[in-house]
Amino acid sequence: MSKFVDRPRYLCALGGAIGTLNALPGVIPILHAAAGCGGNISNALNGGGGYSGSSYCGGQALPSSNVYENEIVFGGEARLEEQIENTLKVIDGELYFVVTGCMVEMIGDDTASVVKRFNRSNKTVLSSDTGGFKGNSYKGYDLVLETLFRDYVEKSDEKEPGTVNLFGIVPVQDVFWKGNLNELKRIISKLGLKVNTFFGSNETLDNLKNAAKASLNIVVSDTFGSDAAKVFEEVHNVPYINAPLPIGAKATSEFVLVIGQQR
Amino acid sequence: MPVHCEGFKTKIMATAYDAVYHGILRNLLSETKEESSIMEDEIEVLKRKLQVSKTVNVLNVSSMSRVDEDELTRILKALDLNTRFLPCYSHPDDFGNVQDAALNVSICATHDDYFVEHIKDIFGLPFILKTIPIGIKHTNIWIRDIAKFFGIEEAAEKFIESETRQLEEAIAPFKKILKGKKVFLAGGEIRVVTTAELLQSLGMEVTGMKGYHFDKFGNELLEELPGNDDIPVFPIFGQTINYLGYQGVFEFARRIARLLRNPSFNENISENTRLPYHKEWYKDDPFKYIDQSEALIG
Repeated sequence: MSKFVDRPRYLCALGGAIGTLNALPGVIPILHAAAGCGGNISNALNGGGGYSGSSYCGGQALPSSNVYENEIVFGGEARLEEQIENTLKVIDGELYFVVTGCMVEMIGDDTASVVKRFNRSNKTVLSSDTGGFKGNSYKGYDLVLETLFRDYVEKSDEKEPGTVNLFGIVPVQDVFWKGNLNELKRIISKLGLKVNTFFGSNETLDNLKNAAKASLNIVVSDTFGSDAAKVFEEVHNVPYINAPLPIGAKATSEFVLVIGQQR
Repeated sequence: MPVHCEGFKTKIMATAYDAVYHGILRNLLSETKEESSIMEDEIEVLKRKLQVSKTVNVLNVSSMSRVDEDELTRILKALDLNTRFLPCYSHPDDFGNVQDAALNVSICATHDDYFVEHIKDIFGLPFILKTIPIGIKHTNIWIRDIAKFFGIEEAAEKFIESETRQLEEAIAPFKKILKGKKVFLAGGEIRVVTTAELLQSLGMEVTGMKGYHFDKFGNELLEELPGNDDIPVFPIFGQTINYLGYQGVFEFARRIARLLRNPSFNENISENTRLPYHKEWYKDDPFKYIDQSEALIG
Protein backbone atom coordinates (compact mmCIF):
# COMPACT_ATOMS: atom_id res chain seq x y z
CA MET A 1 0.00 0.00 0.00
CA SER A 2 1.21 3.43 -0.86
CA LYS A 3 1.69 5.64 2.18
CA PHE A 4 0.35 8.78 0.60
CA VAL A 5 -2.28 9.93 -1.87
CA ASP A 6 -0.56 11.14 -5.00
CA ARG A 7 -3.68 11.68 -7.08
CA PRO A 8 -6.88 12.42 -5.19
CA ARG A 9 -9.91 10.32 -6.14
CA TYR A 10 -12.25 13.19 -5.66
CA LEU A 11 -12.19 16.75 -4.46
CA CYS A 12 -14.31 18.74 -2.04
CA ALA A 13 -17.71 20.13 -3.06
CA LEU A 14 -16.00 23.30 -4.34
CA GLY A 15 -13.69 21.21 -6.52
CA GLY A 16 -16.60 19.27 -8.01
CA ALA A 17 -18.45 22.54 -8.62
CA ILE A 18 -15.50 24.06 -10.47
CA GLY A 19 -14.97 20.90 -12.53
CA THR A 20 -18.64 20.96 -13.49
CA LEU A 21 -18.63 24.64 -14.43
CA ASN A 22 -15.41 24.28 -16.43
CA ALA A 23 -17.09 21.56 -18.49
CA LEU A 24 -19.92 23.89 -19.51
CA PRO A 25 -19.19 26.00 -22.60
CA GLY A 26 -18.53 29.72 -22.03
CA VAL A 27 -19.10 29.71 -18.28
CA ILE A 28 -16.87 31.80 -16.02
CA PRO A 29 -16.62 30.44 -12.48
CA ILE A 30 -15.78 33.08 -9.84
CA LEU A 31 -14.34 31.72 -6.62
CA HIS A 32 -15.16 33.31 -3.32
CA ALA A 33 -12.44 31.67 -1.25
CA ALA A 34 -8.86 31.97 -0.01
CA ALA A 35 -6.10 32.07 -2.61
CA GLY A 36 -5.02 28.46 -2.11
CA CYS A 37 -8.39 26.94 -3.05
CA GLY A 38 -8.21 27.87 -6.72
CA GLY A 39 -4.60 26.83 -7.20
CA ASN A 40 -4.88 23.54 -5.33
CA ILE A 41 -8.16 22.60 -6.97
CA SER A 42 -6.78 23.36 -10.41
CA ASN A 43 -3.86 20.99 -9.77
CA ALA A 44 -6.04 18.31 -8.23
CA LEU A 45 -8.64 18.47 -11.01
CA ASN A 46 -5.93 18.11 -13.61
CA GLY A 47 -3.93 15.42 -11.85
CA GLY A 48 -6.94 13.48 -10.65
CA GLY A 49 -9.07 14.01 -13.73
CA GLY A 50 -6.87 12.56 -16.45
CA TYR A 51 -5.26 15.92 -17.31
CA SER A 52 -8.58 17.32 -18.38
CA GLY A 53 -7.07 20.71 -19.16
CA SER A 54 -8.17 24.03 -17.81
CA SER A 55 -11.08 24.73 -20.22
CA TYR A 56 -12.15 28.17 -21.46
CA CYS A 57 -11.65 30.00 -18.18
CA GLY A 58 -10.23 27.77 -15.49
CA GLY A 59 -7.01 26.35 -14.14
CA GLN A 60 -4.73 29.04 -12.83
CA ALA A 61 -6.73 31.74 -14.66
CA LEU A 62 -9.81 31.29 -12.48
CA PRO A 63 -11.12 34.59 -11.09
CA SER A 64 -11.02 34.43 -7.28
CA SER A 65 -11.74 36.87 -4.45
CA ASN A 66 -8.61 35.54 -2.65
CA VAL A 67 -9.82 36.47 0.82
CA TYR A 68 -7.18 37.06 3.48
CA GLU A 69 -7.16 37.68 7.24
CA ASN A 70 -8.78 41.08 6.84
CA GLU A 71 -11.83 39.61 5.09
CA ILE A 72 -12.00 36.63 7.44
CA VAL A 73 -12.22 39.01 10.40
CA PHE A 74 -14.37 41.78 8.91
CA GLY A 75 -16.32 39.88 6.25
CA GLY A 76 -15.59 39.25 2.60
CA GLU A 77 -18.73 40.51 0.85
CA ALA A 78 -17.19 43.82 -0.28
CA ARG A 79 -14.19 41.95 -1.71
CA LEU A 80 -16.53 39.58 -3.57
CA GLU A 81 -18.54 42.45 -5.03
CA GLU A 82 -15.33 44.09 -6.25
CA GLN A 83 -14.16 40.77 -7.71
CA ILE A 84 -17.42 40.22 -9.62
CA GLU A 85 -17.34 43.79 -10.96
CA ASN A 86 -13.76 43.44 -12.17
CA THR A 87 -14.36 39.98 -13.62
CA LEU A 88 -17.27 41.31 -15.69
CA LYS A 89 -14.96 44.01 -17.02
CA VAL A 90 -11.99 41.75 -17.80
CA ILE A 91 -13.40 38.32 -18.67
CA ASP A 92 -15.73 37.69 -21.56
CA GLY A 93 -18.26 34.97 -20.77
CA GLU A 94 -21.85 33.96 -21.39
CA LEU A 95 -22.61 33.07 -17.79
CA TYR A 96 -20.81 33.99 -14.54
CA PHE A 97 -21.16 31.66 -11.59
CA VAL A 98 -19.93 32.36 -8.04
CA VAL A 99 -18.89 29.34 -5.99
CA THR A 100 -17.78 29.51 -2.37
CA GLY A 101 -15.07 27.92 -0.24
CA CYS A 102 -15.30 26.71 3.38
CA MET A 103 -13.88 29.81 5.05
CA VAL A 104 -16.37 32.33 3.66
CA GLU A 105 -19.26 30.11 4.67
CA MET A 106 -17.85 29.71 8.17
CA ILE A 107 -17.76 33.48 8.60
CA GLY A 108 -21.29 33.75 7.20
CA ASP A 109 -20.79 35.78 4.02
CA ASP A 110 -24.12 36.15 2.22
CA THR A 111 -22.97 35.35 -1.29
CA ALA A 112 -26.47 35.17 -2.78
CA SER A 113 -27.28 38.75 -1.72
CA VAL A 114 -24.03 40.07 -3.22
CA VAL A 115 -24.80 38.30 -6.49
CA LYS A 116 -28.33 39.76 -6.51
CA ARG A 117 -26.79 43.23 -6.79
CA PHE A 118 -25.75 42.25 -10.32
CA ASN A 119 -29.31 41.36 -11.36
CA ARG A 120 -29.65 44.51 -13.40
CA SER A 121 -26.35 44.20 -15.25
CA ASN A 122 -26.66 42.80 -18.77
CA LYS A 123 -24.66 39.73 -17.70
CA THR A 124 -26.12 36.73 -15.90
CA VAL A 125 -24.45 36.12 -12.54
CA LEU A 126 -25.52 33.12 -10.46
CA SER A 127 -24.20 31.58 -7.27
CA SER A 128 -24.20 28.45 -5.19
CA ASP A 129 -22.96 27.78 -1.68
CA THR A 130 -20.46 25.05 -2.41
CA GLY A 131 -18.33 25.22 0.78
CA GLY A 132 -15.86 22.38 0.50
CA PHE A 133 -16.99 20.69 3.68
CA LYS A 134 -20.48 20.13 2.27
CA GLY A 135 -19.32 16.97 0.57
CA ASN A 136 -17.12 15.70 -2.22
CA SER A 137 -16.99 16.35 -5.98
CA TYR A 138 -20.35 14.65 -6.53
CA LYS A 139 -22.05 17.02 -4.10
CA GLY A 140 -20.50 20.00 -5.87
CA TYR A 141 -21.92 18.73 -9.17
CA ASP A 142 -25.42 18.46 -7.70
CA LEU A 143 -25.23 21.88 -6.03
CA VAL A 144 -24.21 23.59 -9.28
CA LEU A 145 -26.88 21.78 -11.31
CA GLU A 146 -29.54 22.71 -8.74
CA THR A 147 -28.74 26.40 -9.15
CA LEU A 148 -28.57 26.16 -12.94
CA PHE A 149 -31.91 24.32 -13.11
CA ARG A 150 -33.58 26.72 -10.70
CA ASP A 151 -32.15 30.04 -11.92
CA TYR A 152 -30.81 29.58 -15.45
CA VAL A 153 -33.17 27.16 -17.20
CA GLU A 154 -36.04 29.24 -18.61
CA LYS A 155 -39.57 28.34 -17.59
CA SER A 156 -41.63 26.68 -20.31
CA ASP A 157 -45.21 25.43 -20.15
CA GLU A 158 -44.94 23.83 -23.51
CA LYS A 159 -43.23 20.41 -23.42
CA GLU A 160 -41.80 18.60 -26.43
CA PRO A 161 -42.72 14.92 -26.15
CA GLY A 162 -39.61 13.77 -28.04
CA THR A 163 -37.06 15.75 -26.01
CA VAL A 164 -35.19 14.48 -22.95
CA ASN A 165 -32.35 15.74 -20.75
CA LEU A 166 -29.66 13.33 -19.70
CA PHE A 167 -27.29 13.88 -16.77
CA GLY A 168 -25.81 12.16 -13.71
CA ILE A 169 -22.39 11.60 -15.28
CA VAL A 170 -20.11 13.95 -13.38
CA PRO A 171 -17.68 15.86 -15.61
CA VAL A 172 -13.97 15.52 -14.79
CA GLN A 173 -14.83 13.14 -11.93
CA ASP A 174 -15.71 10.67 -14.68
CA VAL A 175 -12.65 11.36 -16.83
CA PHE A 176 -14.46 9.97 -19.88
CA TRP A 177 -17.55 12.07 -19.31
CA LYS A 178 -17.63 13.63 -22.73
CA GLY A 179 -17.31 10.39 -24.64
CA ASN A 180 -19.82 8.69 -22.36
CA LEU A 181 -22.37 11.45 -22.79
CA ASN A 182 -21.84 11.53 -26.56
CA GLU A 183 -22.35 7.79 -26.83
CA LEU A 184 -25.49 7.74 -24.69
CA LYS A 185 -26.82 10.62 -26.74
CA ARG A 186 -26.12 8.64 -29.93
CA ILE A 187 -27.92 5.57 -28.61
CA ILE A 188 -30.98 7.42 -27.33
CA SER A 189 -31.21 9.46 -30.53
CA LYS A 190 -31.77 6.16 -32.35
CA LEU A 191 -35.02 5.82 -30.40
CA GLY A 192 -36.09 9.02 -32.13
CA LEU A 193 -35.48 11.25 -29.12
CA LYS A 194 -33.82 14.65 -29.00
CA VAL A 195 -31.28 14.71 -26.17
CA ASN A 196 -29.68 17.51 -24.15
CA THR A 197 -26.64 16.50 -22.08
CA PHE A 198 -25.36 20.08 -21.42
CA PHE A 199 -21.75 18.85 -21.17
CA GLY A 200 -21.45 16.82 -24.39
CA SER A 201 -19.75 17.80 -27.64
CA ASN A 202 -21.29 20.49 -29.81
CA GLU A 203 -23.71 21.63 -27.15
CA THR A 204 -24.10 25.25 -26.09
CA LEU A 205 -25.64 26.97 -23.11
CA ASP A 206 -28.87 27.15 -25.12
CA ASN A 207 -29.30 23.40 -24.61
CA LEU A 208 -29.38 24.14 -20.91
CA LYS A 209 -31.45 27.32 -21.16
CA ASN A 210 -34.21 25.55 -23.10
CA ALA A 211 -34.06 22.34 -21.09
CA ALA A 212 -37.47 22.92 -19.49
CA LYS A 213 -39.09 22.02 -22.81
CA ALA A 214 -38.05 18.42 -22.28
CA SER A 215 -40.64 15.91 -21.17
CA LEU A 216 -38.29 13.69 -19.17
CA ASN A 217 -35.03 13.86 -17.25
CA ILE A 218 -32.86 10.74 -17.43
CA VAL A 219 -30.41 10.49 -14.53
CA VAL A 220 -27.73 7.96 -15.43
CA SER A 221 -27.02 7.17 -11.79
CA ASP A 222 -28.85 6.05 -8.68
CA THR A 223 -27.53 8.99 -6.70
CA PHE A 224 -25.54 11.64 -8.53
CA GLY A 225 -27.80 14.20 -10.14
CA SER A 226 -30.93 12.99 -8.33
CA ASP A 227 -31.11 16.02 -6.03
CA ALA A 228 -30.79 18.28 -9.04
CA ALA A 229 -33.47 16.27 -10.88
CA LYS A 230 -35.82 16.79 -7.93
CA VAL A 231 -35.27 20.56 -8.16
CA PHE A 232 -35.94 20.36 -11.91
CA GLU A 233 -39.21 18.54 -11.28
CA GLU A 234 -40.28 21.01 -8.60
CA VAL A 235 -39.46 24.15 -10.62
CA HIS A 236 -40.18 23.03 -14.19
CA ASN A 237 -42.58 20.16 -13.72
CA VAL A 238 -40.46 17.66 -15.62
CA PRO A 239 -40.36 14.15 -14.10
CA TYR A 240 -37.17 12.09 -13.89
CA ILE A 241 -36.06 8.48 -13.85
CA ASN A 242 -32.88 6.91 -12.53
CA ALA A 243 -31.66 4.78 -15.41
CA PRO A 244 -29.27 1.85 -14.86
CA LEU A 245 -25.59 2.52 -15.54
CA PRO A 246 -25.03 1.36 -19.13
CA ILE A 247 -21.68 -0.40 -18.89
CA GLY A 248 -21.35 -3.46 -21.11
CA ALA A 249 -23.75 -4.77 -23.76
CA LYS A 250 -26.22 -6.32 -21.30
CA ALA A 251 -26.57 -3.29 -19.04
CA THR A 252 -26.73 -1.03 -22.08
CA SER A 253 -29.64 -3.10 -23.48
CA GLU A 254 -31.43 -2.72 -20.15
CA PHE A 255 -30.74 1.00 -20.26
CA VAL A 256 -32.25 1.27 -23.76
CA LEU A 257 -35.29 -0.78 -22.71
CA VAL A 258 -35.90 1.38 -19.63
CA ILE A 259 -35.73 4.52 -21.76
CA GLY A 260 -37.97 2.89 -24.40
CA GLN A 261 -40.64 2.11 -21.83
CA GLN A 262 -40.97 5.80 -21.03
CA ARG A 263 -42.24 6.68 -24.47
CA MET B 1 3.99 17.32 12.94
CA PRO B 2 1.65 20.33 12.97
CA VAL B 3 2.21 23.03 10.38
CA HIS B 4 0.28 26.23 10.86
CA CYS B 5 -0.44 27.48 7.37
CA GLU B 6 -4.00 28.85 7.10
CA GLY B 7 -4.47 29.96 3.50
CA PHE B 8 -5.85 33.38 4.35
CA LYS B 9 -3.00 34.22 6.73
CA THR B 10 -0.81 36.00 4.18
CA LYS B 11 -0.50 36.90 0.53
CA ILE B 12 3.11 35.76 0.44
CA MET B 13 3.24 32.15 -0.68
CA ALA B 14 6.87 31.87 0.46
CA THR B 15 5.71 32.17 4.08
CA ALA B 16 4.72 28.52 3.78
CA TYR B 17 8.39 27.55 3.67
CA ASP B 18 8.91 29.20 7.04
CA ALA B 19 5.79 27.49 8.40
CA VAL B 20 6.98 24.03 7.36
CA TYR B 21 10.52 24.64 8.62
CA HIS B 22 9.05 25.90 11.87
CA GLY B 23 7.25 22.59 12.27
CA ILE B 24 10.46 20.68 11.52
CA LEU B 25 12.51 22.79 13.94
CA ARG B 26 9.98 22.35 16.73
CA ASN B 27 9.38 18.64 16.30
CA LEU B 28 12.06 16.75 14.44
CA LEU B 29 15.39 18.00 15.73
CA SER B 30 17.35 16.10 18.32
CA GLU B 31 18.97 18.28 20.97
CA THR B 32 21.62 15.77 21.98
CA LYS B 33 24.79 16.79 20.19
CA GLU B 34 26.64 13.51 20.16
CA GLU B 35 26.06 10.02 21.46
CA SER B 36 28.85 9.16 23.85
CA SER B 37 29.29 5.51 24.59
CA ILE B 38 31.82 4.54 27.22
CA MET B 39 33.97 2.27 25.12
CA GLU B 40 34.25 3.90 21.73
CA ASP B 41 36.73 2.88 19.12
CA GLU B 42 39.00 5.90 18.64
CA ILE B 43 39.48 5.22 14.97
CA GLU B 44 35.74 4.99 14.46
CA VAL B 45 35.31 8.32 16.24
CA LEU B 46 37.91 9.96 14.03
CA LYS B 47 36.43 8.43 10.91
CA ARG B 48 33.07 9.78 11.86
CA LYS B 49 34.46 13.24 12.56
CA LEU B 50 36.16 13.22 9.18
CA GLN B 51 32.95 12.14 7.51
CA VAL B 52 31.00 14.95 9.24
CA SER B 53 33.68 17.52 8.38
CA LYS B 54 33.22 16.71 4.71
CA THR B 55 29.44 16.57 4.68
CA VAL B 56 27.28 19.34 3.31
CA ASN B 57 23.54 19.62 3.87
CA VAL B 58 21.99 20.92 0.67
CA LEU B 59 18.46 22.22 1.15
CA ASN B 60 16.21 21.22 -1.71
CA VAL B 61 12.87 22.89 -0.98
CA SER B 62 10.58 22.47 -4.01
CA SER B 63 12.88 24.18 -6.53
CA MET B 64 15.04 21.20 -7.32
CA SER B 65 14.38 18.17 -9.47
CA ARG B 66 16.02 14.81 -8.83
CA VAL B 67 18.27 15.42 -11.85
CA ASP B 68 19.32 18.71 -10.27
CA GLU B 69 20.23 16.85 -7.09
CA ASP B 70 22.39 14.51 -9.13
CA GLU B 71 24.18 17.46 -10.72
CA LEU B 72 24.88 19.17 -7.38
CA THR B 73 26.07 15.84 -5.94
CA ARG B 74 28.41 15.46 -8.91
CA ILE B 75 29.81 18.97 -8.41
CA LEU B 76 30.36 18.57 -4.67
CA LYS B 77 31.81 15.10 -5.13
CA ALA B 78 34.40 16.60 -7.46
CA LEU B 79 35.41 18.75 -4.49
CA ASP B 80 35.60 15.63 -2.31
CA LEU B 81 32.47 16.57 -0.33
CA ASN B 82 29.53 14.37 0.67
CA THR B 83 26.09 15.70 -0.01
CA ARG B 84 22.97 15.17 2.03
CA PHE B 85 19.67 16.55 0.77
CA LEU B 86 17.08 17.94 3.16
CA PRO B 87 14.16 18.41 3.73
CA CYS B 88 12.22 17.13 0.70
CA TYR B 89 11.99 13.36 0.19
CA SER B 90 13.96 12.74 3.37
CA HIS B 91 12.76 10.66 6.32
CA PRO B 92 11.61 12.51 9.46
CA ASP B 93 14.45 10.77 11.35
CA ASP B 94 17.00 12.40 9.03
CA PHE B 95 16.48 15.69 10.85
CA GLY B 96 17.60 14.09 14.12
CA ASN B 97 21.23 14.40 13.04
CA VAL B 98 21.01 17.49 10.88
CA GLN B 99 23.96 18.87 12.91
CA ASP B 100 26.27 16.08 11.71
CA ALA B 101 27.54 18.19 8.84
CA ALA B 102 30.10 20.92 8.36
CA LEU B 103 27.86 23.31 6.49
CA ASN B 104 24.30 24.06 5.46
CA VAL B 105 24.02 25.19 1.86
CA SER B 106 20.90 26.79 0.53
CA ILE B 107 20.03 27.20 -3.11
CA CYS B 108 17.41 29.82 -2.38
CA ALA B 109 17.17 32.35 0.43
CA THR B 110 13.42 32.62 -0.12
CA HIS B 111 13.13 29.07 1.15
CA ASP B 112 15.79 28.55 3.70
CA ASP B 113 16.80 31.67 5.64
CA TYR B 114 14.58 30.84 8.61
CA PHE B 115 15.85 27.27 8.88
CA VAL B 116 19.60 27.84 8.44
CA GLU B 117 19.68 30.72 10.91
CA HIS B 118 17.94 28.65 13.56
CA ILE B 119 20.22 25.68 13.00
CA LYS B 120 23.16 28.05 13.42
CA ASP B 121 21.69 29.35 16.67
CA ILE B 122 21.05 25.89 18.06
CA PHE B 123 24.06 23.91 16.86
CA GLY B 124 26.51 26.56 15.66
CA LEU B 125 26.38 25.05 12.20
CA PRO B 126 27.39 27.71 9.65
CA PHE B 127 25.52 28.27 6.41
CA ILE B 128 25.82 29.71 2.92
CA LEU B 129 22.75 31.50 1.70
CA LYS B 130 23.61 33.59 -1.30
CA THR B 131 22.57 32.39 -4.68
CA ILE B 132 21.07 29.53 -6.65
CA PRO B 133 23.45 27.63 -8.97
CA ILE B 134 21.63 28.61 -12.16
CA GLY B 135 23.83 29.67 -15.08
CA ILE B 136 27.61 29.55 -15.25
CA LYS B 137 28.19 32.71 -13.27
CA HIS B 138 25.99 31.80 -10.32
CA THR B 139 27.07 28.16 -10.31
CA ASN B 140 30.65 29.40 -10.04
CA ILE B 141 29.74 31.76 -7.20
CA TRP B 142 27.94 28.92 -5.43
CA ILE B 143 30.95 26.60 -5.75
CA ARG B 144 33.50 29.26 -4.76
CA ASP B 145 31.59 30.12 -1.58
CA ILE B 146 31.57 26.49 -0.54
CA ALA B 147 35.22 25.99 -1.52
CA LYS B 148 36.25 29.05 0.48
CA PHE B 149 34.58 27.65 3.58
CA PHE B 150 36.52 24.39 3.27
CA GLY B 151 39.75 26.07 2.15
CA ILE B 152 39.84 24.17 -1.13
CA GLU B 153 39.78 27.14 -3.49
CA GLU B 154 42.53 25.82 -5.69
CA ALA B 155 40.79 22.53 -6.43
CA ALA B 156 37.56 24.42 -7.02
CA GLU B 157 39.15 26.78 -9.55
CA LYS B 158 40.56 23.83 -11.46
CA PHE B 159 37.17 22.17 -11.53
CA ILE B 160 35.39 25.39 -12.55
CA GLU B 161 37.88 25.99 -15.34
CA SER B 162 37.49 22.49 -16.76
CA GLU B 163 33.68 22.44 -16.48
CA THR B 164 33.28 25.90 -17.97
CA ARG B 165 35.52 25.07 -20.91
CA GLN B 166 33.61 21.91 -21.77
CA LEU B 167 30.28 23.64 -21.30
CA GLU B 168 31.10 26.65 -23.49
CA GLU B 169 32.08 24.25 -26.25
CA ALA B 170 28.85 22.28 -25.87
CA ILE B 171 26.51 25.27 -25.90
CA ALA B 172 28.22 27.15 -28.73
CA PRO B 173 25.78 25.80 -31.39
CA PHE B 174 22.78 26.83 -29.29
CA LYS B 175 24.13 30.33 -28.76
CA LYS B 176 23.92 30.93 -32.52
CA ILE B 177 20.19 30.15 -32.46
CA LEU B 178 19.48 32.10 -29.29
CA LYS B 179 21.49 35.24 -30.03
CA GLY B 180 19.46 38.46 -29.86
CA LYS B 181 16.14 36.74 -29.05
CA LYS B 182 13.98 38.58 -26.53
CA VAL B 183 12.74 36.99 -23.32
CA PHE B 184 10.26 37.78 -20.57
CA LEU B 185 10.49 35.91 -17.26
CA ALA B 186 8.03 35.04 -14.51
CA GLY B 187 8.64 32.92 -11.44
CA GLY B 188 10.12 32.90 -7.98
CA GLU B 189 12.28 35.86 -7.08
CA ILE B 190 15.72 34.25 -6.92
CA ARG B 191 15.04 31.97 -9.87
CA VAL B 192 13.94 34.67 -12.33
CA VAL B 193 16.86 36.93 -11.54
CA THR B 194 19.51 34.22 -11.93
CA THR B 195 17.75 32.80 -14.99
CA ALA B 196 17.87 36.30 -16.49
CA GLU B 197 21.63 36.27 -16.02
CA LEU B 198 21.81 32.83 -17.68
CA LEU B 199 19.76 34.03 -20.65
CA GLN B 200 21.94 37.09 -21.07
CA SER B 201 25.04 34.91 -20.99
CA LEU B 202 23.50 32.92 -23.86
CA GLY B 203 23.28 36.16 -25.83
CA MET B 204 19.55 36.72 -25.33
CA GLU B 205 17.86 39.96 -24.41
CA VAL B 206 15.81 39.96 -21.20
CA THR B 207 13.00 42.45 -21.71
CA GLY B 208 11.21 42.02 -18.40
CA MET B 209 10.69 39.96 -15.26
CA LYS B 210 7.80 39.21 -12.94
CA GLY B 211 8.56 37.72 -9.53
CA TYR B 212 6.03 36.21 -7.14
CA HIS B 213 7.39 38.57 -4.52
CA PHE B 214 10.51 40.60 -3.84
CA ASP B 215 12.60 41.00 -0.71
CA LYS B 216 16.13 41.99 0.31
CA PHE B 217 17.66 38.80 -1.11
CA GLY B 218 16.34 39.57 -4.59
CA ASN B 219 17.47 43.17 -4.49
CA GLU B 220 21.12 42.25 -4.22
CA LEU B 221 20.90 40.13 -7.38
CA LEU B 222 18.65 42.58 -9.18
CA GLU B 223 21.10 45.44 -8.98
CA GLU B 224 23.40 43.58 -11.34
CA LEU B 225 20.83 43.51 -14.16
CA PRO B 226 19.47 46.03 -16.66
CA GLY B 227 15.67 46.21 -17.05
CA ASN B 228 12.94 46.65 -19.80
CA ASP B 229 9.36 45.14 -20.75
CA ASP B 230 7.47 42.29 -23.00
CA ILE B 231 6.67 38.37 -24.34
CA PRO B 232 7.50 34.12 -24.98
CA VAL B 233 7.19 30.52 -23.10
CA PHE B 234 9.34 27.87 -21.45
CA PRO B 235 8.56 26.46 -17.98
CA ILE B 236 11.48 27.48 -15.81
CA PHE B 237 10.94 24.72 -13.32
CA GLY B 238 9.88 21.14 -13.94
CA GLN B 239 10.35 18.00 -11.87
CA THR B 240 11.91 16.22 -14.82
CA ILE B 241 14.18 18.97 -16.05
CA ASN B 242 17.80 19.56 -15.05
CA TYR B 243 18.27 23.27 -14.49
CA LEU B 244 20.97 23.69 -11.85
CA GLY B 245 24.72 23.53 -12.24
CA TYR B 246 26.73 23.20 -15.46
CA GLN B 247 24.67 20.38 -16.94
CA GLY B 248 21.59 22.47 -16.15
CA VAL B 249 22.92 25.28 -18.35
CA PHE B 250 23.37 22.85 -21.23
CA GLU B 251 19.93 21.29 -20.75
CA PHE B 252 18.26 24.68 -20.55
CA ALA B 253 20.04 26.05 -23.63
CA ARG B 254 19.27 22.87 -25.57
CA ARG B 255 15.57 23.01 -24.71
CA ILE B 256 14.97 26.68 -25.49
CA ALA B 257 16.96 26.39 -28.72
CA ARG B 258 14.69 23.52 -29.76
CA LEU B 259 11.63 25.54 -28.82
CA LEU B 260 12.80 28.46 -30.94
CA ARG B 261 13.73 26.29 -33.92
CA ASN B 262 10.16 25.05 -34.14
CA PRO B 263 7.57 27.15 -32.34
CA SER B 264 4.65 25.73 -34.35
CA PHE B 265 3.07 24.09 -31.29
CA ASN B 266 2.75 27.48 -29.59
CA GLU B 267 1.62 29.13 -32.82
CA ASN B 268 -1.09 26.53 -33.45
CA ILE B 269 -2.30 26.72 -29.88
CA SER B 270 -2.62 30.50 -30.01
CA GLU B 271 -4.38 30.39 -33.39
CA ASN B 272 -6.92 27.81 -32.24
CA THR B 273 -7.61 28.90 -28.70
CA ARG B 274 -10.08 31.54 -27.66
CA LEU B 275 -8.83 33.26 -24.54
CA PRO B 276 -11.44 34.52 -22.07
CA TYR B 277 -10.17 38.10 -21.81
CA HIS B 278 -12.04 41.05 -23.36
CA LYS B 279 -10.16 42.68 -26.24
CA GLU B 280 -10.20 46.05 -24.47
CA TRP B 281 -8.44 44.56 -21.47
CA TYR B 282 -5.25 43.99 -23.44
CA LYS B 283 -5.06 47.71 -24.16
CA ASP B 284 -5.57 48.75 -20.53
CA ASP B 285 -2.87 49.93 -18.17
CA PRO B 286 -1.46 46.71 -16.65
CA PHE B 287 -1.60 48.22 -13.15
CA LYS B 288 -5.24 49.35 -13.46
CA TYR B 289 -6.71 46.69 -11.18
CA ILE B 290 -3.94 46.69 -8.61
CA ASP B 291 -5.16 48.48 -5.52
CA GLN B 292 -1.96 50.06 -4.20
CA SER B 293 -3.52 50.96 -0.86
CA GLU B 294 -3.99 47.27 -0.11
CA ALA B 295 -0.73 46.14 -1.65
CA LEU B 296 1.27 46.24 1.53
CA ILE B 297 -1.31 44.77 3.90
CA GLY B 298 -1.26 41.11 4.71
